[in-house]
Amino acid sequence: MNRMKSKTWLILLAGLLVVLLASSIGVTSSYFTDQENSSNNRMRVITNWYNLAWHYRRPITIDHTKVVDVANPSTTYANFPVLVYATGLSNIKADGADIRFTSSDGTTELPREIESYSGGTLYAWVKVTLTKDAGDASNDVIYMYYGNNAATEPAPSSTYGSQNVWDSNYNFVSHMYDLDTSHIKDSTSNNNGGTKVGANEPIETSSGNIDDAQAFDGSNDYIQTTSSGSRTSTHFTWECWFKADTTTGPHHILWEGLSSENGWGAGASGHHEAHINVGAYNMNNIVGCFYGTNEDAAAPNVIRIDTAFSDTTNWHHVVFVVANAGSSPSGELFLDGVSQGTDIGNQTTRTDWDTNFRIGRPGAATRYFDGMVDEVRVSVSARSAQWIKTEYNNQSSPSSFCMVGPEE
Amino acid sequence: MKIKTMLPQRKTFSFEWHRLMRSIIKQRGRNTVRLTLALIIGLALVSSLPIPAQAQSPVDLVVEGEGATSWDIANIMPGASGTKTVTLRNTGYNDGFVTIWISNVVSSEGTNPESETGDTSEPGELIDYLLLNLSCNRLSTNLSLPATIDDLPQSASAQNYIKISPLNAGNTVSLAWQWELPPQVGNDVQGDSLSFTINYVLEEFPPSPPESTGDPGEDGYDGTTYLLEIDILGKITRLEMRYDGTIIKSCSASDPNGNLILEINSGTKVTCDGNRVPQRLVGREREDLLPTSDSMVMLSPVYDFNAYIYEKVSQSVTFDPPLNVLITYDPEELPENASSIFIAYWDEELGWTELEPLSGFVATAGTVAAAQVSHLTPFALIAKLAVPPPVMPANFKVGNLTINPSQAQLGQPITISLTVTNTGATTLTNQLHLMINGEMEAVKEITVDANSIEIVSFEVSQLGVGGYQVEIAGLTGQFSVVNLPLPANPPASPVKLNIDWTIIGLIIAGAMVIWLLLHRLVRREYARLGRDGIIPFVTSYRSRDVGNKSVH
Repeated sequence: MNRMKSKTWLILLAGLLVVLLASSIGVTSSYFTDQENSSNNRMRVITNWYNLAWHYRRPITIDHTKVVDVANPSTTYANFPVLVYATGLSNIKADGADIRFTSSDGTTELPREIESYSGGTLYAWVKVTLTKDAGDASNDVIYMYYGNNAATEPAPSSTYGSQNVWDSNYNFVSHMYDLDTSHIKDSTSNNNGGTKVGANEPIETSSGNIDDAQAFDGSNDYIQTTSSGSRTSTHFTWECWFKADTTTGPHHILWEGLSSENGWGAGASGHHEAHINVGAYNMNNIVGCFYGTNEDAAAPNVIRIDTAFSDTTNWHHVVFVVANAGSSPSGELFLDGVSQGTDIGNQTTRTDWDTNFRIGRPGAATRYFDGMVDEVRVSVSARSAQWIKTEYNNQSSPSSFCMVGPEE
Repeated sequence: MKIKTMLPQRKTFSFEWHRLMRSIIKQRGRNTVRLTLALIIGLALVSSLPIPAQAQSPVDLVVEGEGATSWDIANIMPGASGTKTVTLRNTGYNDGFVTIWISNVVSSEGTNPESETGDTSEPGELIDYLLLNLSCNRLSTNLSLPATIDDLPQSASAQNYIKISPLNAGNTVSLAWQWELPPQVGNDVQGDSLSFTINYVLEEFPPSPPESTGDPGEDGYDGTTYLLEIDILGKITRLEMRYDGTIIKSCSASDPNGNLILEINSGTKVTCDGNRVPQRLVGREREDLLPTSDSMVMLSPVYDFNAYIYEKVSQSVTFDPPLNVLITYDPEELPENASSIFIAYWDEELGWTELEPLSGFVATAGTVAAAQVSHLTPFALIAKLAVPPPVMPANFKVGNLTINPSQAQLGQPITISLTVTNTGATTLTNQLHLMINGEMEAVKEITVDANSIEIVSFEVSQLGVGGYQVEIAGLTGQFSVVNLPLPANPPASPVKLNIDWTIIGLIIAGAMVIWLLLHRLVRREYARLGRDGIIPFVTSYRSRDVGNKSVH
């Protein structure tokens, strides 16, 4: 028993020795380290950004309640030129050359025309396909990118350049600012710019409805363009913003036809012409339109629509749509987006129109327009009432039509 | 300490089991019991082993804060930046330092590469542009931050390093990881992503210098080598050394541009305070300016070195024998009136102190200056400017320059004198500059009365061996200092007295003759007196002498 006891203690002692050795090795073998890490740190660059050389963007939300009936089969909102107006902008090149627009995906570039950018205030036209109207619960969104000092103004004819804002339906578009004191620009690719009758006649004014406009003196000012698309197209639509200084007497805002004509078909001679007028030879305080050869509004061969108008204070949007001009003409007058009436005629020939589209006077040297004109367009298609109303909603109040969001 | 705490536990444990087993033995066979007992004891011992491991570790790193967990930063734009804060805490009981590196870097091309303008193939370009910076008051790095992920250390032993030191026991330090995507990046990074791991290793400061682990040879060196890392402005050079800091192979370390070169020969011993061996020498350009005199122009940055012993900073590193420091300069940048170029070290009390140029390097004749350095204190290459002597007034005439001696023994004063004549009608005062080898050695202000002559003297000493050109007010001369060996001292000799040994011999001979004569005279007189009985004691005197003999 004693022998067993001594052996047991021997084993115990040996065990202790092993532990002692192991412990001492553990202590003196090396100095200690402890490693920790933070793993899987991820840094991800934004996606769906037009181009990272453009450092900023703002979402632009198009109020769907101001877009009219996108589902109407007679209306297509593809290639709709949306006026984007914004103030208080910064981080943009002084001339706005670095401004770009994309669709809602943030990357698909849209053609745009910068009408003006100065001091943080922007007027730009962007070709957008509108898809949301009052019946929808959401809005169309586009993005405006900027903040790239290296960017230059796209060539007007390039894919996303200014001319491509205006599709082939537009024959003439003028924002009515001066190219120089004697000329105005046609923003389309048709090069249908206008020449003033003299330098500063009419004169550019900064008091336009959309940035600058032209002020006509009512005595001799007018602008002769080279647009003649309405002469041959099946349909045409003329439109502009105007602010009349007087509604008394006949004053032609827009006109095209025979050079000797005074706006209402020159009686029995049967020469065609068309126009939008304020006042008439036989009626004051109206806004009207005419297409045909006879000044008699009741005559079956002319389209003539008049609507009461006497405002000399505010800007108004007037549109004259002529459909099937070469076969069974019909016309409709819109004032501020609202139809003022329709009419039909039977004069289908425009072959004797020898004078191109003109702003401020008819063929004869009389009946000049007295007031300001802005945003003149000639389309070689018949714009729908929905399109016209949406245009009006946009251009009458661009800041509520397009809500410019915060900078991103 | 761990062992001491374990012993009582184990003792009590085994004692109880021993008593238990003793009772079992009475019932079972002894062999079985012994085996069981041994197993139980063994198990108990083994189970006791982890006990100290579960206790507090020497170093224990705790990483906390926003940046300690995985980052997931999305929608980064050019120009975007951010910060992730991390705290590092050492919950162990030993001091240490932290090494940081990046791993598991995965760079991916974006999912939207079609909008890019450049390379749309893998990997993504974000890794080339994303910049990371690290801020910490204890940061030690040879990197230029911010840096891209690729430029950060990719392992704990990478040449480029990021260290946080010290992180002492119980201490916490905050780091701020700052990331930035520069605004200039192009569209190539669009949609790209980058993932990576940040590693933090807390390492305990070793308690002593590296020790030999093998069988030491005759000199105690077992062949184990250690590395000395020399980091000069970010360029790393590694030298092999022995455990005691002795460099094994001659090597040069330089900055990235090769403007500063340290030449260390094999056998040089590199040590810090307490004879400890550094692991790293880090040289940087000193940012704060050290004062210089008007007659000095710095031709190089001021280089300042720190030695690191496991990230502990030591500023006193010694090289034995000294290393060679070579600094390249551009001769085009030398001031026209530079009189000498030298490497100098900074001394808090003495200011810039010139180092002896290394043999074979004449600084003004080339583009490299060199010196030997035994301690790495701040040093720089300096040009000394010659001070133009004052213009003497027209009425002052100088002449008669004399130098005495023209060849002086080392340490011997040399007197340089000249005459100054005032030929004017009024008393004139001016300065005389003694220039030796183009450098101003002394200045004296002299005043000479009208139509008078003054002798002006300078005394110089403490010049080293060599030849010297002297110039004072346009007068020139030269002298040299030599260190001729002195004749060996003869062995000590007795004082040489100018003694005429002939006279002394004659005196002695005379004295002896006189003494003999007197002796004969006295004896004769004694004999006479004795015979006469006048002095009987003379007889007794002689008889006593005889009487002694007659005792027998």
